[in-house]
This record gives sequence, C-alpha cells and structure tokens, in this order.
Amino acid sequence: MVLRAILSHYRRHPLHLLSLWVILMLATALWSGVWSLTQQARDSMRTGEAQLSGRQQVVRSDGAPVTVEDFVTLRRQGLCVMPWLEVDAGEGRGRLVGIDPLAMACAGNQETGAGTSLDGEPFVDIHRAAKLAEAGHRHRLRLLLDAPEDLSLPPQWQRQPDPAALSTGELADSFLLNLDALGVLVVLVSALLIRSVYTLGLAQRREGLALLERYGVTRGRLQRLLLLELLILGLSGIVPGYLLGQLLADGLAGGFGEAMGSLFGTPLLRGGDTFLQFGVTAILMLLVTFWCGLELLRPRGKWVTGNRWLHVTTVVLMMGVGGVLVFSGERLVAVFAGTGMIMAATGLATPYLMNQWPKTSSGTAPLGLWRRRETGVLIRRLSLPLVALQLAVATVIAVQALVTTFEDTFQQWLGQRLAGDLFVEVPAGKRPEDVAGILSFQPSIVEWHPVIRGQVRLPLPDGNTIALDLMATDTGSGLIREWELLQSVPDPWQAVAGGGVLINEQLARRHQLEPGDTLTLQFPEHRLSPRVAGVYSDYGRPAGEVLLDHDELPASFVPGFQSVTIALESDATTSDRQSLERDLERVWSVADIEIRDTGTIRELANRIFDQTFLLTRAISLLTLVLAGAALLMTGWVALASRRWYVHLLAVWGLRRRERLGLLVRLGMGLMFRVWLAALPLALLLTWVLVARINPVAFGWSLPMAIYPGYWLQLLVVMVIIGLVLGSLAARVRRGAPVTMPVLTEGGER
Amino acid sequence: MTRCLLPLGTCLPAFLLSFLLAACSDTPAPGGFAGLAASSEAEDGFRQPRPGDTIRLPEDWGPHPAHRIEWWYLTANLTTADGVPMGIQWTQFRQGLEPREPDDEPPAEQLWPLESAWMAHGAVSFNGRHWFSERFARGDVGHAGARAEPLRVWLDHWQLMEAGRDQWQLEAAGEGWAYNLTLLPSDRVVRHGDNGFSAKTEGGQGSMYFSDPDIAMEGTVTIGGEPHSVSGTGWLDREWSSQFLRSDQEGWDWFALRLDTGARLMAFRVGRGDNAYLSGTWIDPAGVTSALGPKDLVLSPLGLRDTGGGRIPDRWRIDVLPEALTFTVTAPEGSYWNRGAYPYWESPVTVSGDASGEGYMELTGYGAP
Repeated sequence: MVLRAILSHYRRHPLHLLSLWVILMLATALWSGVWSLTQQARDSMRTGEAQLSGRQQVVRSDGAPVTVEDFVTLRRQGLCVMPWLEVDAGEGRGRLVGIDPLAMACAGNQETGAGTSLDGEPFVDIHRAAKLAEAGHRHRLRLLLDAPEDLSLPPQWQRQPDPAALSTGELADSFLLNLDALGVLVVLVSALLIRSVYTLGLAQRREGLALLERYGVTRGRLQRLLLLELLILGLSGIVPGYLLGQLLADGLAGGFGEAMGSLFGTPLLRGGDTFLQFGVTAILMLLVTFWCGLELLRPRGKWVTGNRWLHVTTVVLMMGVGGVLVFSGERLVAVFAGTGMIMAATGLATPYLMNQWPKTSSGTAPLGLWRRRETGVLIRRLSLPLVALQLAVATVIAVQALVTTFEDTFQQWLGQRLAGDLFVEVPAGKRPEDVAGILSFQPSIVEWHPVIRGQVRLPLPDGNTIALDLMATDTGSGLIREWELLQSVPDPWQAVAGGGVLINEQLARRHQLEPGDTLTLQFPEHRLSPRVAGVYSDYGRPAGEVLLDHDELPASFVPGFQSVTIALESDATTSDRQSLERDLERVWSVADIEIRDTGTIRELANRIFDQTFLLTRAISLLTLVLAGAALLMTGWVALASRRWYVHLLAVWGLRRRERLGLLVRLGMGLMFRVWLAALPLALLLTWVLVARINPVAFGWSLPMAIYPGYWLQLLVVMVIIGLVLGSLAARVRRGAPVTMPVLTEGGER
Repeated sequence: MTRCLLPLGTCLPAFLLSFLLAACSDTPAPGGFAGLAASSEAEDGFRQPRPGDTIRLPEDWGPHPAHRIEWWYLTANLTTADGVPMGIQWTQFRQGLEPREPDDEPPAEQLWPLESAWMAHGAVSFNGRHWFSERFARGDVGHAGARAEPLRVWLDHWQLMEAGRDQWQLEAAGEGWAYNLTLLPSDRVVRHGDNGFSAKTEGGQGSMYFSDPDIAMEGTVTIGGEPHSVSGTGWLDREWSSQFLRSDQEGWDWFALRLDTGARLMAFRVGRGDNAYLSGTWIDPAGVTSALGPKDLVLSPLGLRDTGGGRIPDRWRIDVLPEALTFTVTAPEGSYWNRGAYPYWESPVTVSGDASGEGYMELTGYGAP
C-alpha cells in the first residue's frame, strides 16, 4: 500500500519517470560504449606490445629482401627467428599478417606450448598469407628476432629494430588516457544529470512523502522503499543502456580500429570479457544512481545550501592544486588529473558565480525583478544540469579547437612533405641511384630526389643507446628546401649539404637539442658527429628522426626503405608516366613497380587523420547532446514546480504573448550565462590540450588558436534550448488551476 | 590445458594441432581423438598399418608422409667419467595434417605449407635433477624434417644425423643443457609385434614399430656450462601409424630395459584397469625375439611418489610369464617430469630381481606438475 502510494507519483507524472529512465539509459549507453572501446584498445595494445615490443628484425647485409632460405639457415643455427608476412589483402580488406605460431614458440615471452594470443584477423596462418602473396597481392616478409642484444649474427645478416614494433610509449598512453578522460567526463556529466533529475522529482514529492509520514510510515521505511525504487529504476535503465552502448561501440569500432592500426600498428582486437564489462557498467551506474539516493538520507531541510566557506576553500584548493599539476606536471597522468580538478572546481564555483549576476544587475522594475529572482531560483535548482552542460560545452569547444588547429597545421606540413607528384618505392635489392640517369634526362621530369629511410642509434649520457629514425635525401633538391623549419642556424640547407643534420621537433624536445648543438649518430661500423642545422615539425608519430644528406651516409648503412619522389612538368601526360614506369622497370630489372600519386597518399593521410579524431569528436558531441536533452527535461520539471510563480504573471495582467516573451527571455538568459561560463574553461582546456598534453604525449606542440565562429554556433544551439525551455514554461500555465506551495522547514519558494 | 587421455604417442602430435588451432583460426581442424580412432583410410586419406605389413630398411628410418603420426625416440643410460649415471632423451615427432605419398613432390617452401607439424623434445637427467626443452616447426619449410639415407632427423639446430660409416651424431641444446654425442648403432634391429606390426588394442589397431636397443654412445653433455664426458648405451624407437587407439584408453606406461644377462625387454601398458592392453617384446641374449601378448605380461605398480603434480608409480613389478622372470623397476630420486606442452614422466630406471639392469620408463596420464 505504502509502495503504491510512493509510486503513484510516477502515475501522475509519467514524464518524470520517462526522463529519469531515458537519461539513465543514455548515460549508461554512452559510458559503456566508451569504456568498451577503451578496454578493447587497451587489450589490443597490451597484446601487441607483449608480442612485439623490443623485438628486432633480421635483414640481409647485402640489402636484398629476406627469404624462406634465410629463415631456415638462421633457425638451423639455433636463432629464434620468426616469419612475419604482411600482405595487402586488397578490396579494402586492409592488411593481413601471416605468422607461424609453431616458429613463434621459441620466443622468450611465449609460455611453452601456450600458443600465441595473436588470434584472429589480421593475424592468419602464414600459409594463407603466402597464398595471397603468390596470387599477386603486395607483400613483405620480415624475420623477427628474439635474441639477446649481445648475440652476434652471422656476417650475412644484421639486426635492426623492427619498425612494426616501434615503441608507441606516451602516444599510446595519451590515446588511452584521452579515452579514459572522456569516459570520466561522461560519468561526471551523467551523474550530475541523473542526480538533478531525481532530486527535482523528489522536491515535487516532498508533500506526498510528508503526508505518508504523518500517517505513521516511519522515515526509515520510506527511505528503504525509495532506495528500492531507485534500484529497480537503475537496473531497468542499465540493461538496455548497456546493450545500446555495445551497439555504439560496434558502430564506432570500424573507424577507431583503423585509427589504431595507422597510429600504433596495432589492430583493434574485438571482444573482451562481456560479463566483466557489464558488471563494471552496472556497478558504476548503480553507484551513480545511489549517489542520487544520498539525498534521501540527508536531514530534512538541508536541500541545497551548504557551508559557504568550506565550499569556497574547496574550490580554491582544487583550483590551486589542479593549476600546479597542469602547469608543472611532467607526466600525462598529472596533467590530466590537474585538468580534471580544475574542471570540478569550476563546476562547484559556477552556480555561485552565475547567481551573483542577477544580484549585481541594476533596475528594480517588477518584471525585471521577477525575472532575476526566477533566474536565481532556476540556477539553484538546475545547478547540476547547468554545470554538466557547461562542462560539455567547454569540452566540445576545446576539442574542436584542437582538431581544427591540428588539421590546419597538419595540412600545411603534409603539403611540404608530399611535395612532388609521384612517389616510387625502390624495389628490394635495388638502389635509387641506378635510375638517376633516366630521371635526370626525362624531359617530363622537373625535379626528383631519393629518400632513404632506416635506423641509427643515438648514444645517451648513461652509456645506453636508443634507436632513431633516419631519413637521407638529396638536400639540394628544391622540393626538400621548401620545408619550413621551426628553428635553424643561418643558411641551414647549406649547413646540411656540408655535413650537418636536421632533426624533428620530437627529438629536439626529448633531448633538449637546439640548432648549433652537436649530435652523435652511431652506425653499425661508423660514428658521425654532425651539427644540428635546424629543427623541423613532424606530426602524427612520436619517434625521433634525423635528416641528413644522402652523400653523408656511411657505405655500411643498410636502408630499411627507399623511395624516389618526382615532380613532373605541368603538361606531363599519362603516356609520359607510363613511359617512365617502363624505363624504371627496365633499369631495375623488375616486372612491376608501384608508382603512387602523392595526391592519393595525401587523401589516405587525411582519412587516417579524420578517423583518429572521429571518436573524440563523436563522444564529446554525444555528451553535449545528452547534457542538452537532460537540461530540457529537468528544466521542464523545474519550471513545472514554479507554476504558481508563473501564474502570478497572469494575475499581474500580462497577456499571453507578453508572458511567453518574458519566459523565453528567462530561458535564453539562463543559457547565455551557461555559455559565457563555459568560455573561460574552454580556453583553458584548449591551452592545456595544445600546449601541455601534446608536447608531453607526442613531443610536438601546436599553435594555440581559437575559433569564435564555432562558439557562436554553439551559442545559437543553446539559445534554442533556452527558447524551448521558455516556451515549455509558458505551456505549464495552461494546466489545472495552481495552488500556492506550502513552505515547510525552510523550503525554498 | 585439457588433460590428454591417450598414450603419449598420439597425445603429443595431436597437441601440435591444438597448438596451431589456438593460434590461427584458419588452420585445418583435426578429427579429434575419438574421430582419430574411428577414422578410416577412406575418410581422411592417411594410410593405416595392418597386420602383415612389414618393416623395410633403411627406408623406414625416414619419414612416412602417408601416415598421420610418427616419431624417432631415443633414450640412453650414460655414465660420466666419474661413474655417475646420467640419462638423456631426444625425441622428434611428426604430425601429418594432409597425407602425401612418399614419392610426391613436397609443396614449395615459399608457400609456408602446413601439411605437417614437427615437435622435438630433449632432456637430461643427472644427480636427481632433470632438464627439459621442446621445439616446434612446420614441415616442408626446411628447418625441420627427416630422411632415411643418409639418416638425418632435424628440427632447428637439434639433429640426429649419419656422421660416417655406421656412426651417427646427435646434437641438441636447451636452457642449461646441451649434448653432442656419437652413436654407434648395433646391427640388430628388433621388429616388435607381428614382424613390426605392434597391436595396441584387442581389436587389432596398432602401429609399425621397430627399435635398436643397443646403441653404443659417447660424447659430451654440458650442464650449467660444465661439460661432462659420458659413455653408455641408448635405445632408439621408430614408430608410425595413423590410428591405433581407443578413446577410452587412458594413460600409457612404457619400459625399455637392458638386462645384465644380455637380454632386453620392451613392455607397455596402454590404458588402465579393465581397458588396459599389455604388450611387449622379449629379446634373449642371443638376439632372438619373442612377442609378448596381454597374457604373457603383468605390470604392477609397487609404490607411488608424490611429485607435487601427479602421484607417479615410481616402482614397478614386471612379470614376464613365458620366461618365468620377475623384475623390480625403480626410478631414481628426483622429479622427471617433461614440463612441456603436454607434461609426462620420462626417467631412467634401474632393474633388480631375477636380473639386474637399467633402462627408461615413460608414464603418461598421471596428472601434471
């Protein structure tokens, strides 16, 4: 009977039940979707790293590609060498990696006979990959080596760091932390929203609950029944929310997987422990739900207010500690934690600050006064959803600024890097200089230069060495000299032609190198000590790189990859290109070479770039949508509880149109304040992303840019939300006759 | 790991399949053990040994790609220069995944074919301690294989190869151990069962099986970096089949014993309890062989050793009824588990009773360490 009486609230206010359930479900979906993807990413990276980290590959000293015979010879000498056959599966199916699990059993990190966890595509049995390769698909065989550093190889082979096993280090951490941070943001926003919807409903039920108490139902029993109601409500929203979240994760996984593959060389391994995922989601969302229930356990009368000094001290402390972490933190975790503290402190301070505005405004006209007072009440009652919306808006603005800045900078950089029209991969065992004669005398070619890539080691002060990417090219080429340098000595290209080197920003930051410094490069049999002539930007990866003129390369250097970049005359025709292709094939004595347009490569790079940020954009936008929708619902409920005060407007003689105008201005003003409160936080977040997180995570920084046009777009969206809120408030008036609310125990008008 | 219910001979090669399957979902699926027992030549194309089949030498030292499973299995009781006993084991298994006639061209190695998989085990037992390693490879690529003439069986840098007239060389190395041994095979090859067809069930399923029980060996065994000069006698088994076990036959107890009288005894029990099937071969000092059937042998465990994994019967009574002889076989102190993909017990033994001697004992189906 008592339970029926308690639940009768929802019979009278089904919209309240629906809004609570919908928000709970959407919040669960969003969080479980993000968490599921993050877990998949984390598992995939852990798996990939466990299998590949620190592994080296064996290359032939004569530069020819490795073969099955090399594998057999090395295995017969007792070396733990494992084949790794990468095949382009074609038709958009991406890359397959053929492995031999039996051969991999010798690796040190394999439990004997435990098999390998490289299970499922893109990992396939090497026989299947080899059949694709035989059918003409592009392929490349690597021989991975699991052997101590000091174990020498026969002279016909050399060891090289495996490019597929490049340590992703802080970049991977950053990627995962970004996702974690988004997940935390979703939980934070969701918790604020769910609590706000619930507490507003509870305020509506105060009279009914008080009546039950007067009929002899103990407060303890009421609390237990209300907690039971919360539990049932929570579970009924969590189950469909979790399923929806998995759909969301599946929908985003395609692009996400592509981003992971391109950034880290790690495929997204689908699956994971469903029971664990559901369990964690359910526990977290139940905790969030019961946080709402804490309201029930408070002493009567303590509804909104708290200790102001404690509040202010908390805000100041969190701001201070957060600021120190953000400005001086050297690890990503510290910067993220500091940012989180600043956001939380801002959230705590915002309702107070927004409430100060009406008090300081001038004017005492009755309607103005009414509007300011109502705004103040709404700010207090809607403080949680308003803060949630503020955080969401600030995040969306910051993410948009980061992505757009990166996009612009990346495009400019890509333009430099992809100067020229054609890109030709030098076949294995051949050299770029073999075709110098043809390229120099082809009338359709304006300019060309070779690009030789490989690895070199950089000795560290502690006696260890680390691997660096090396790029050697003809630094006299006009295509190369178009590069813009971040810092340089006077006449840097002349310095490079004279034996100097250029280094990328990552390397410069990591080892505090500047133009004019001397760098030591350790080759297998040589050591060079060139001067740093300049620093260039190098986006999209964490590895340090050094660029030098190809004439400076020691003869013993074994290239990992070689290509030729060609700029054509503007009137070059398809037949010119075909003729060039035939000439190259003839000189290199190969049946088929691949010539790619730099435009196609640029498209591919842009596609990868888009995919990388798709998830970030999608989640921040979805969070904004959730916060906006929740605000609409809670605003509606809140305004419904103000019916008596809205009714006063009619009593004062305001016509319907005037009342509507007043309420719409009220709603829009509220939204304007939220938007305004979000801007400083958005600017701070933008700065943290480009100036703190990027250098710590990636090794390069981005210029700080703001996009007020986008701010205005968001303002328009929020003003529309305010307009709808105001209209809804005006509709409330049309209901049944209103009665003046009874104020009890310090309750608020 | 699923506990293997079948004798070592089939368990280990079949494990190779599960190993492959764990790694790559597109690897061909095996028929399973029950399927193996029930399969017929017509179904999967593997040739099945039958009573009446004979051993042909030297060809049968080489591989049998038309059969599903086979192994080269060497155990040896050696002694160091100081007279301390030492045991060694070297085994190489082949598991066929697709049958192929011996004369057919093997597939091109560039295709990394998967028609067979290989596994090798190496172990050294010395002073109550036991060292074990294993290696895996796919067949037809080149780093594992076997051929009859000149004899060569290899997987990576482990190999048994002919090193001169009537002389073989055995090399293998694992973590903490290595051996390099010269083998002088004897001229008496023992064909087990019915002229080489060794039944494993009452129903007549079985394998082709022959041994050289007296291989003189000497060379160096290195343990923990310390080389030991050793000499002694080895026992080499060759066995191949495609189906010969019932799925209800749990575990396998196998003995290869050299008696001081000059006689030799091979005895095994497939399965336990009512399902057990016993068989063996008695070789008298003159080299005359007698097949022992289920009614000619009694194998009785006398004591159990708690090894921290499974409880192992470390002492046995063996009755050879036609010869009216009774022996006690005892494993030395220590734990002799081969802790690989499929754990099993492989230990040197001493013989006492109606005759003294030495040999090797292999036990499966007693749990895992």
